[in-house]
Amino acid sequence: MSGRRSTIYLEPELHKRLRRRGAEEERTVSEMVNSAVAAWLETDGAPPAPPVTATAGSAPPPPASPVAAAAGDGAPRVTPLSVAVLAPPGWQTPVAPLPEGLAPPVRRLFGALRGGDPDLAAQQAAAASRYGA
Amino acid sequence: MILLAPDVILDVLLARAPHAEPAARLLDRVVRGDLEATMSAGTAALAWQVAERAVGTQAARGLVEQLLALVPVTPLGGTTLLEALAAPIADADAALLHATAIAATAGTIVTREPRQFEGSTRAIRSPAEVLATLPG
Repeated sequence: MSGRRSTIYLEPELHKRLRRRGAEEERTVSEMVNSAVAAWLETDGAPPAPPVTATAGSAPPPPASPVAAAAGDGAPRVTPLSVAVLAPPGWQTPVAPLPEGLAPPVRRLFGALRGGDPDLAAQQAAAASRYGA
Repeated sequence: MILLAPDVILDVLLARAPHAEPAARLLDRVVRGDLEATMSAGTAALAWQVAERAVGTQAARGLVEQLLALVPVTPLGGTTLLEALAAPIADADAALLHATAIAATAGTIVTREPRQFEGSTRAIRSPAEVLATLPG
């Protein structure tokens, strides 16, 4: 990413969560901070957004998770950084088709964290019927 | 013996195109006994954390158990941490993986982020590169 260099200080736990999220989504901390700050600037000083009920920007609604539960009242709130932190894993990367001929233990793990993807679920079901689960 | 870095494991679990296929094929060769593989405790922990958020607590535990059945973890102890601190590798995560590879006597670290491992004494290969070295 090109741009001007700036040093920011993040809380250690927040930094750890951002790095974890970056590993999932193949985004750098810089990219995530950039998108979060841009989203915040877009609000132009508006009050905090309402609880997430449908979508948060381009991200699908977050799944139930320890992170969401930590919001306190059970309803996660969209803040600039929570958009980056709460988005479901892998939502940015396209899903790969299930390769043919994998051993059953590998097939079961393939895309296991993308279980909500109907195409992949269908492929896994078809493969299971072909090769036996 | 190879050490699978977290990006390779997550490529499989998240079916991330276009990287998931070679990663899954490599894991398949491990399952079939064509080569030995290990992963770091940190990699397993990361997979667990990501899984908890994606599929919930119970399912995540099941998935991590399945993963551990396929790829054993090399323990991370004080000696390994000291090795990581002394490693000529700038990135802390990469230094830990490098030290774990040494502890596991793994000659190769499998990742698609080779730049992180500059200075490593292990061979750094992508899943596709490792697959290319295997017969059949």
